[in-house]
Amino acid sequence: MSVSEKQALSEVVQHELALKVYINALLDEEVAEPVVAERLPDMKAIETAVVETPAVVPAVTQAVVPEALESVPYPVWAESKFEALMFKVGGFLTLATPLATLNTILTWSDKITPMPGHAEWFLGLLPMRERQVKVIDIAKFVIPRGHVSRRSLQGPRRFKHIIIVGCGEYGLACDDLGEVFGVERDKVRWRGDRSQRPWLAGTVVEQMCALLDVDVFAEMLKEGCPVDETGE
Amino acid sequence: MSQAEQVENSTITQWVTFRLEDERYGINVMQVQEVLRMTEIAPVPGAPDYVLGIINLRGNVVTVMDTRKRFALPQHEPDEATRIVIIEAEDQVVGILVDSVAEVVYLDQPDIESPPNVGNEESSRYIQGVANRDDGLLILVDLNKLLTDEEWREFSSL
Repeated sequence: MSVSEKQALSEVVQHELALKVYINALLDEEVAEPVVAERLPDMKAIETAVVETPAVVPAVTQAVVPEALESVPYPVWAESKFEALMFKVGGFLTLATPLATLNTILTWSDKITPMPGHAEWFLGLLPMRERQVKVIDIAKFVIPRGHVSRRSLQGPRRFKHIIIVGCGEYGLACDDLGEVFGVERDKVRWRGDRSQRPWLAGTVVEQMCALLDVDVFAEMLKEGCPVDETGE
Repeated sequence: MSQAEQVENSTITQWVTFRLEDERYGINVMQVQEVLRMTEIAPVPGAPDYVLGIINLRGNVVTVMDTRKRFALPQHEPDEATRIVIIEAEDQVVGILVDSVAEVVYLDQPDIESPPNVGNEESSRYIQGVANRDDGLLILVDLNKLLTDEEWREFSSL
């Protein structure tokens, strides 16, 4: 193996490690557990549902929600099973957005007008149906500036799609679209405390991807999100 | 009714348009005094990085701003199309260096959309609005807000 090949391989390994660290950090956050650790008064007589270690409650007991869970701020779209679209950003990071908050998907356009004096994650304005969509480089928005993965975001980027979310005010620039998959609420590691990164609703455990709370994300941008809440 | 008459009677405003990199910008025609070809600009030692230097305009010293620097655009070697637009803002007469000057456009109030207002970048305060034109988006610049009050004071003392 030549020196340059070794270097390239080392960079790939570094990338993979960085991704693992990032995902693990999301999973290790303090969250309210969607589990039943003891028998609840309303629970049907399913003896095997009593567990000693944390585990996901089977769907049949979904109607029974521990009091602690009531305070977990699930977005409205997560109250029952929902569908989500996975997409790739930054060349390596997989995110998901619920279909309920998806407006439309566009192929990448060169008609985006950059705006001077804005954050580096703001790519510019795209005219669409009588309005200007604000296009966001979501990778730069979510990945902290000091993170090693940021290196892959330097230089020219090649976006393929723009995912228009909410009422069509914002578009998320992404590399690739993934699959649409169904998600049960208890298959998501929801974040109880969203004082940091409020745009991050939780982590879809099976797919190992971060789930965006698009409504909060849009609200943050409208209010003028503080620098430390973004990747900057 | 001519366009000039329309301007007088309605909410139509005139904008001098210029280019920087691949984008088009508009500034209020009322603040534009004249447009000069590129000329020698004498650097001012110790001036902020967005100041290119000073020129002699009929016996008056005019400070020239590096607009590309101000807009965080990459540097560009001046060429035949480069112009210095002499403007009046915050009671000062200054020059702004641009890649080229294009036409004067007329915009009615409904044509002007509010600025993107994304994030809380202080530097984006000088974008007054945007206007969707056939040939692309026109970014309208509020010249008075191109610098902060403190920066304008510093500009005047150069």
